Amino acid sequence: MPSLKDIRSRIDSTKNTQKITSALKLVSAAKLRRAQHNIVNLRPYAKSLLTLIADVAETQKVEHKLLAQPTEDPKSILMIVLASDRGLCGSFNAGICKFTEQKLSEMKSQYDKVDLIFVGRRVKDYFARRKVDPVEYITGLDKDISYELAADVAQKAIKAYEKGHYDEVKIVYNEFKSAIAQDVVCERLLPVDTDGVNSFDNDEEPRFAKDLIFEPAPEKIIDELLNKHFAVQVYRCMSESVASEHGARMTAMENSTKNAGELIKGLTTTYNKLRQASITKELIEITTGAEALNG
Amino acid sequence: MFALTIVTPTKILVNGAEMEEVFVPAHRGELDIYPGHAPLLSTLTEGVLRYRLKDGGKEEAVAISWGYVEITPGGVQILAETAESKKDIDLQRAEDALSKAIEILENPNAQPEDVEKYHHKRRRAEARIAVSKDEFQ
Repeated sequence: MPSLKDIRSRIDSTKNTQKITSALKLVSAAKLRRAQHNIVNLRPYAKSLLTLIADVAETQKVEHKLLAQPTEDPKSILMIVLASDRGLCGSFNAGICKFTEQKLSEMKSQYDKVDLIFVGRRVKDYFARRKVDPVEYITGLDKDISYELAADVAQKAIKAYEKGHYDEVKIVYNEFKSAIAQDVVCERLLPVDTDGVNSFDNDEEPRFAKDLIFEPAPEKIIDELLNKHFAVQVYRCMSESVASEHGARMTAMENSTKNAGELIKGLTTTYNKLRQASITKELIEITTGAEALNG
Repeated sequence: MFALTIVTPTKILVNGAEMEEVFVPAHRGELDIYPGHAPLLSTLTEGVLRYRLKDGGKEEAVAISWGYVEITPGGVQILAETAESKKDIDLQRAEDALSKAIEILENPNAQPEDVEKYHHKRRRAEARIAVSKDEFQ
C-alpha cells in the first residue's frame, strides 16, 4: 500500500509532465502553422514550373534524360527517406521506418542496386540496428527547412542520376493531409513524369506562339527547368514531412496531456480515499481509547 | 494589357498588376521589356529585376538568383527562385560574401568548380548590394 506521501509526489510529477506536454503541444502548433504556410505558398511556383516543362517538352519535341521514357526497366534506384531528428511525435518515425523496410525487401527482387539517403537521426538509428547504411545522411531538418538544403540534396542526387548510377530516384515521406492525418507515401521524382500536366488539351490552342523566341535553346532551357523542378520537389517533400512531424507531435502531445489529466484524476481519488480511511482509522482509535478509559 | 506576375517559392510577389516597363537580367544580358514585346521565353540569371507600375508608379527593384521569364501578348510571367527587396537584404552579409567571392576568384589556384560557384555568388552579392543601396540605375 503506497503512503499518502508517495501518492502526493506521484501527482506532482504527473502534473509537471502534463505541463511539459501541453507546452510542447503549443510549440508544435505554432511550428505547424508556419510549415503549412510554406507548403501553400510553394504550390503556385511548383505548378507553373512543371506546366512549363510539359509545355516546352511537348511543343518543341525535346527529349531529355530526366524526362520519362515510355520503355524502361529500372535496375538501380536511389531512395530518399525523410524522417525527423527528434521523437515524441507518435508513430511518425516508426511508420516511415516500417514502410521503408518493407519497401526494401520488396525491391530486392526487382532492382540490382538500392541506395539510400536518410534525412533525420531517427531513421538512421533504426536502420543502423538492422545493418543498413545510407550513402548520405542529413540532419537538422526540423530547425529550419531551407530551400538551399533541399537544393543541395537534389544536386547530389541529380549528378548521380545523370552519370547513370541510378535509373530512378524515389522519395519516401509523410504526406501532409491535415494536422491529425499523415500518410506515408513513396513518390518517383526522377525521371520526371509530365503526363497530363501541360496547360492545353489536344483541341486547344498551344500556349506558345509559333514565333516564340527561346533564349537559350529549348533543350538548354528544359535542362535548367528540370534541375530546378527536382530541387523544388525535394523541398516540397521536406516541407510536407516537417509539417507532418509537427502535426503528429501536436496530436501525440495532446493525447499525453489528456492521459496525464486522467492519471491525475485517478490518483487524486485514491489519495482522497486513503486520506479518508486514515482519518476514519484515527477516529476509531480515539473513540475506542476513550471507551476503554470510561469503561 | 501588360500585366506582370512574379512567383517565388515563398510567395506571389506581384499578381497581374499593370506595368509600364519591366527590366530583367536575362540569360543573354539585360532585357528591357515594354508593352508589345515579341513573345519570348528566357531563363534569368543573378541580377536586379526592376518593374514600374503603370500611370507613373514607383519603380520597385528586387535581387533575384535564378528564374525564367515568359513574355506573351498578355503580359509577363516571371518565376524567380529568390526575390529579395531592399528590406529583406542584409547589406553587411552581402558585402562579406562579395569580398570572400572576390578573394577566391582572384586566387590563381582556385578549383574550376569553385570558380563557377563563386562567380555566381559574386553576382548574387553584387545584385543584393545594388538593391540595398538603390544603385541599380
